[in-house]
Amino acid sequence: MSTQTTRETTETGEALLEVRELKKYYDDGGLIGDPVQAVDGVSFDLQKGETLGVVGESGCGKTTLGRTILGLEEATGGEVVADGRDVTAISGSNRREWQRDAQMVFQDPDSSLNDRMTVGEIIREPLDAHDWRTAEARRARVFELIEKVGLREEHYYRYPHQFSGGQRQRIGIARALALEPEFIVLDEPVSALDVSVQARIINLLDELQSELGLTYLFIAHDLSVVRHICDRVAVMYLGNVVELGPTESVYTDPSHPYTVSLLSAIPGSFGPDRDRITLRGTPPSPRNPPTGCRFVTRCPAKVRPDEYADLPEDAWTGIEEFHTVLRARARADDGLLERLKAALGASVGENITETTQELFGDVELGSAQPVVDEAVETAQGGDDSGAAALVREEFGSICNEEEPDEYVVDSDGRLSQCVRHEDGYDAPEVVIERRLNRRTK
Amino acid sequence: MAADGDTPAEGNAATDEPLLTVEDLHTTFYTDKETIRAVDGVSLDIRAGETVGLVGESGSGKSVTARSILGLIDDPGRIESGSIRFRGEELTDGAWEQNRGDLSIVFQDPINSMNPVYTVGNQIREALRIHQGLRGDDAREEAVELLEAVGIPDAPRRLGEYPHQYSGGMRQRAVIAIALACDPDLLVCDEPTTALDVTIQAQILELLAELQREEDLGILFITHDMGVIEEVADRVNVMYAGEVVETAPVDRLFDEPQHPYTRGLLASIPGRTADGDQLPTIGGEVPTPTAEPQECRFAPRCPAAFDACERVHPEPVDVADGTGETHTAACLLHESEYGHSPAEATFDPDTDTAADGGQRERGDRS
Repeated sequence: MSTQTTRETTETGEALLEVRELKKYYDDGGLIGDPVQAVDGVSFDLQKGETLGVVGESGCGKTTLGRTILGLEEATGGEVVADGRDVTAISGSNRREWQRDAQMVFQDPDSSLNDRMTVGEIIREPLDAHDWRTAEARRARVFELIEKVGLREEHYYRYPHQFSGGQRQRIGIARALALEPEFIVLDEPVSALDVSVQARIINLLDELQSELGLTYLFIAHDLSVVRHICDRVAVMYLGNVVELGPTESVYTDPSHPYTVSLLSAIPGSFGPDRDRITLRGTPPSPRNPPTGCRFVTRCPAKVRPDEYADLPEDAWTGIEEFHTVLRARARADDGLLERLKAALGASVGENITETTQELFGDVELGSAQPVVDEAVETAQGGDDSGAAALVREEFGSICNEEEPDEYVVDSDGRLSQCVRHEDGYDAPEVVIERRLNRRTK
Repeated sequence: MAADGDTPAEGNAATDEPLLTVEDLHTTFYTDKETIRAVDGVSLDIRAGETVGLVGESGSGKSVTARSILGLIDDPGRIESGSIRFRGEELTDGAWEQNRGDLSIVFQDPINSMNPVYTVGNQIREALRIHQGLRGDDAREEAVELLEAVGIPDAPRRLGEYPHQYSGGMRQRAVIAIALACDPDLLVCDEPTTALDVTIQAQILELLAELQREEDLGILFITHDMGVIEEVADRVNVMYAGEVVETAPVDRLFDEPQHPYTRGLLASIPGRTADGDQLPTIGGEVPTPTAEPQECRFAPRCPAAFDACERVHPEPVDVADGTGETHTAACLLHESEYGHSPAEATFDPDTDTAADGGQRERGDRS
């Protein structure tokens, strides 16, 4: 396995889009607080005619990624190259042209269609906005689109509320197709639909793609849908793409610990035939991502310091949980109200003892005991961030310190951002398996 | 959990006496325009320690069934007929109030099930006071224990926070904690994980299974997600247009679905068909049941419908095939007198004639 930071275009296709180190931060201009790092340095190529899936938990930045590529959000950094120009930095007629070439279908057809316009008007709107040919040609184009997405001619004169969810999504798709785009961002296009309707929309998107040679960026949280429709998949966590590769190989043999955990959470026989790895808690706030690897706070394969190699699994669970609690408390302490309270001398170190008892109750901490005790004492004194730092310092590892590089993990050029792909470390799946076994023993 | 005191023996799994029996339930909504028979003759039962699934698409009547069981049907809706017996007591006679704490419900959307202006701790303590008579320090201690039981870290501190300070998954855990504060024997879960990410869903499902083991809870689990049902349920009822069309133990339902609707539902889930193929689909939509059924309500969408389906209302028949399990399907294909075979009900993409009302011409492709 070798480190590789430059990326080659796969031999088979021609890149339609090259996304490089794309960043989007939201700074809400509040008195205190850091910007939300919604997308933080994402790079990939999009081949002509392919469907690239983007999956991840809510808040991981998948929608922001799609919107930033389209120019609906202004990029904070990085570039998106299409036809030799950076589309995040264009204006005027170039920008208009890009807006024609790249379209979007939204998740919720209820709120993305104007209820006061007829279906015909809705689909014609982009044509009008771009002054497409003549009025007569536009009308004919709308009828053509209505037919193309499986609606009927008479639907032209009806209003969105007269349609079911599936039909409304068809209207949204017709509108996106109006200006003959090359590239469409599909943002959760089937999440709001029942399974039988969902299947029909997926089939429609599939047909349209082969008919019109479209390229899709398919954003979804439903992992089975992505497996069905996508050629390649990018797994996002907290603003980063942690794994990127051909869908089937990612699904059958995930590399990154996050992908392993995410796929193992698919319920029933639709999921992979392997042990469930239940991730603790929720992703940290993108306002305050952990240093080092973004996934470090929940990682089932985190590198542990050698001196604590003998610590039992439940002790590690307790310590990681304790660190999360301290981080959350430190974060809350930053709030305006908490600062006021602290200034008035209230609520210092409340109840940390009780929480610690719950976490470590009958766990044998062994050599880790002194440090945990010290951290508890620090927190009792009201210094939550100090206590968090102490735990991090003592029980942390390379995962807490360095943002992992991107590694090529198989012959398909699959990429995974985890330090465990480095020589000298056990591979993520080996470690996960070993720890699961230790736990059940 | 501490909340286990009062009557220990009731609804023990060993007695095999159902905790809840619903028989021929009809719940109807009377609007100016029409009469909607949202639940139209549903029967099911749940034993202690058992999870019974209720699946179907939107509009099939799952949630109305849940609300009927809890006595939460308001005007213009009415429970028209049928019986709901909880531990042998008839609830439709107005016995809901006495059983309020023993029947509990968890809704889909945790943010709307909590009061935004009270702390989470307040809301749990309120339930504890009403249903278990706990006050003051006792209530606080119990509330901490409940929050810890549902896996919320740093519970003592979290108790003082408001719902908006919780993440989605944590809110759903808190809602479950409130439901448990009533010390229920039966928990109705109405799409409890639909609004959650798959990782958080896994946590919640794990939590429910654990609570069920500890408390011997009976759970009615409602969802449209077949994967979730496969994971949580012991037995499954498939609903369509107000009726239960198929009932089976979970493994059997997934291995050998007998009703054409169940087959179509399972077939249209992506991830089961070979990659790159078009997904099999069911044409049309769930109809709104407005009149007493004289026909099979699925017939217009059924690939194997024949003339009798238009004039005979199918009753559930035994399709257990000699396995000794309880497996019924309401479909004329299974009634030998009509001379049709269930094998006729297959789904493929080309039956896509009435794509949710629209029609797409094929041909310019391939």
